[in-house]
Amino acid sequence: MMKYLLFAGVLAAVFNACMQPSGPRILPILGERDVVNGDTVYPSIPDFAFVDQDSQIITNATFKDKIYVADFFFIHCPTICPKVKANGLRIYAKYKNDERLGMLSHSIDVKNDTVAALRRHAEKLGIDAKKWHLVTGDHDAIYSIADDYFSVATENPDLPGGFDHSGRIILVDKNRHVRSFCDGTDAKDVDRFMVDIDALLAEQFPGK
Amino acid sequence: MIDRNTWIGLTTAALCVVFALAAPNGGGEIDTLKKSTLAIHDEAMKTMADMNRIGRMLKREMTALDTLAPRRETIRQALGRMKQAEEGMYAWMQQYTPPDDMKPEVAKPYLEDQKRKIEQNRRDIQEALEAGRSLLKQ
Repeated sequence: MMKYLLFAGVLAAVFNACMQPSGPRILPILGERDVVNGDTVYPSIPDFAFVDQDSQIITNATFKDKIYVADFFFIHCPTICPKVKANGLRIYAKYKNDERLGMLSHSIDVKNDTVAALRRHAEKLGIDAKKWHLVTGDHDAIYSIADDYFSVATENPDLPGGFDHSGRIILVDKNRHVRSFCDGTDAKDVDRFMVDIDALLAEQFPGK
Repeated sequence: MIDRNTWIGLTTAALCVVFALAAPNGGGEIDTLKKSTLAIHDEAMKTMADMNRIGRMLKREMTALDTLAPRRETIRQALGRMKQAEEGMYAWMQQYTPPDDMKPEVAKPYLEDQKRKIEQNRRDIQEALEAGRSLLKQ
């Protein structure tokens, strides 16, 4: 009897192993897709140009051949932003030396969060501008691109979305598509998000 | 029979308990006030994002209008109101200091004042948003 049970157990384990998908986990491309001339078109992050804490112009080209995480904040935010920054620092610490990933935080308080203020804030956080860009720019351009990110990174794709000061951190792939997002105020959700980052790195940089 | 020293000890302990229960729970009240003030801020920020969206739509409309069109001036005034409401929010955040190091008798009136200010700003943002929405519908 024991022999048959053992045989059944081994068979079940082998069957289970065969059913596991091989290769890296593929994250879905988020957002409503269109079909244009027979091709499926996914929402993508539009062109942008902002300036960071080192007075460098940051555009989509800054993240060429990279994936990046993006969020929106302001220095004097008393509630959500400190928690998001604390979790952002965990992401920074984990991927600090990984050139395949960049980080981009947009300030929505363009009047007060000047380049100098962003530099002081970056120094306080202890971050390197080559890795984590804190950017400012045209007020409407920042709010508009926030809507572009948040309308895709939404819990309910059936509802019109947009920037909502929710503390979301968003993961963008090499083709400007949003692939994941998390609640930046929730440490456990950020843990899950970092697993997604690893999955996207494996997918987009095979063998590296 | 309980001896004299034990009676003194028990009485002292009982008095301590009575005073502890009777003392005002300043910490709890301050924390509640702080949370409710910041909740108003968070709500106002979401409304501000909506206001900003309407503002961008109005700006796009304005650029398409003839420079002498009366509607241009109406839109300009609505946008001015939005800008003022938004700047009010950022000004509030710049001056807000978490009352973590304040004594309760200082923290309470401070937070009550901050709450009044952010409630006013929330109203300003809401009114600017509604005025902008109404203008878009015309």
